[in-house]
Amino acid sequence: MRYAFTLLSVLTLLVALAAAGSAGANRHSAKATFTYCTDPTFPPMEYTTTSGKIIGFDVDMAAKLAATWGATAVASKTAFPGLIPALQAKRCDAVISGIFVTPDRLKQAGAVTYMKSHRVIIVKAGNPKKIHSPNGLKGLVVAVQTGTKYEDYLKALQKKIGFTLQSYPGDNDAVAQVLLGRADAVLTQDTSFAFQAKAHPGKIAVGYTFGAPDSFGIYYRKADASTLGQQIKDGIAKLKVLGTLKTIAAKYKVPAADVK
Amino acid sequence: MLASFDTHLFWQALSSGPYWRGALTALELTAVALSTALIIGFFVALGVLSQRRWVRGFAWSYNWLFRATPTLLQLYFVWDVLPTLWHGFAGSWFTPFMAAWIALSLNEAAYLSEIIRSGLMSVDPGQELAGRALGMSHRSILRRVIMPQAIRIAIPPIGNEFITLLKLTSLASIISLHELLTASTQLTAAKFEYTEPLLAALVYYLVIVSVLMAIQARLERKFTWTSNRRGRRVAPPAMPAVSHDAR
Repeated sequence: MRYAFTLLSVLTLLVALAAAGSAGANRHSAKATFTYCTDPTFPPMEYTTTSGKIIGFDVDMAAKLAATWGATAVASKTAFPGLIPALQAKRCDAVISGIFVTPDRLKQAGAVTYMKSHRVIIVKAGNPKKIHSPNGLKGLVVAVQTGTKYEDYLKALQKKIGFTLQSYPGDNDAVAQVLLGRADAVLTQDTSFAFQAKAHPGKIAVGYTFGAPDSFGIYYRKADASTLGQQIKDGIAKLKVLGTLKTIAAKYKVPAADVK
Repeated sequence: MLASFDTHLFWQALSSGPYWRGALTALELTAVALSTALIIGFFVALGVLSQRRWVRGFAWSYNWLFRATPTLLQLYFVWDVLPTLWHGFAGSWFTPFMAAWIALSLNEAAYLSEIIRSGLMSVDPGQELAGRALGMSHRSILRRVIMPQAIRIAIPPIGNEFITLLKLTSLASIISLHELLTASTQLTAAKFEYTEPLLAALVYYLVIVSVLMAIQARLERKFTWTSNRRGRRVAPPAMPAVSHDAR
C-alpha cells in the first residue's frame, strides 16, 4: 500500500513537471519576449537610473522594435566584453548595446545597423594639454572602457607613440577619471560626450573628432538570420520610415542625422 | 560544450604576454601587500594586547573598520575617493598598483593581526614571567621567547591569507590594474569565447597557488624544531649508525 502511494506521488509529480515543461516550451515558441543583452554603462545609449532601472536610446528603440512583431523587449545586463559570447551562449536573442559593427564581430554574428556617429577624444574643459589629434595623447594618461574597439585602437596607438592607458569596466567610469583629473583624455563616442557634457556642464570638451563614422548595430545569431534577423531588419527600416528613431534621438539629445 | 574547445586558442592564451605579465603583477602585488600587512598587522596585534586603553581602542577600531567593509569598496575608496579629498592623488604618480597595494595591505593587516594575536596568545604567560626572572627586557622576551613559538602557530593561517590575497588581486581589475583576470577578459572580448581564456587563467591560478603551498610547507618545516616530537623522530641521526669506512 505504501509503495503504491509513493509510486502514485512520483507519477503525479512527473505529470505536473511535464505539463509545466510543455507550457514553458509553448511560451518559448510564441516568442512573446525579445531578450537583448546590454551593458548599461554607456549613456545616453544605455545606462541605469539611481534605482537600477536600465534606460536609454537603445532601450526605447528595443521596445518599439519588438512591438513591430508583437513581442515585449526585456534587457539582460551583461558586461561589455561578454556581449557577443552571451549571444552565442543563447543567454539573449540579440545584442543592443551601442556596439560597433566590425568585420571581426560580423564573423561571429549577423548585424543590422541603426545609427552612425563619430568617435571623439574627450578632454578637460579648455583642453589644458592641447590635445588636437590622436598623436597629441603622447606621454599622457588616457582612460577607456575595457573590451571595446576604442581600447583596441588605443592599444595599437600606444605601441606607436607611448602613453599610459587605463581600462575601466564602464564607459562612464572612464569619463569619470577625466572629471576626477586623473586621466587627460577619454576615447569614446560623440553620443557619450553629448550626455556627459550635459551632466557636467563646463567640465569637459571635445579635443578631436574622428572623420570616419562608426556604425552601431543590433547583433543576432547567424542561425536566426532568416527569422529574427529578418524581423529586426524590417523593424528598423519601419522605425526609420515612421520617424520613431528620430523621436527617440531627440529625447536623448542624439543628433537626428545619426539615425537617418 | 567541449566539442567546440579550441586547443590552439587555449595554448595561445597560456603562452601570451598579457597573461604572463598579469600573473607577475598579481604575484608582485600579493607579495608587497602581504609584507606590508604583516608589519601593520603585527603592531595592531600588539596594540590589541596592549596595557594602555587608548592603544587597545585604536587597534580595535582598525580591525573593526577594515573587517566590516568589503575589499571592493576599499579599492574604490582609495582609487576614486582619495583624489576628491586630496587632489594630489589624481597625479600620474599614483598608479593603480599603488592604490591596490594600499587598499589590500590595510585590509589584509586587519585579518593578519588577529592571526598574529592568536599566535602570541598561544604562548604560555609563564614563559614571559620566566624571561623576566632571567632579567630579560620586554623586547628581548618578545623577540627571543614568544615570537619563535608564535610563528609556528601563525604560519598555516598566514599561508591561507597569502592564497586569499592572491585571488583578491583580481578585484583590482576594476581600478584598471592589468592583472591576470584583466588579461582573460580582454582575450574574451577579442575572441568572443569564454571557455579557453578563462580556463587558461584558471590554470595560472592553480599553478601559482600550488607553488605558494609548497613554499608554505617548507616554511613550516623550517620553524618546526626539536620541541616537536614528530620532527625529532624523522630527523636524521647526528652520526651514521655504521661508518661508511666499515663497509
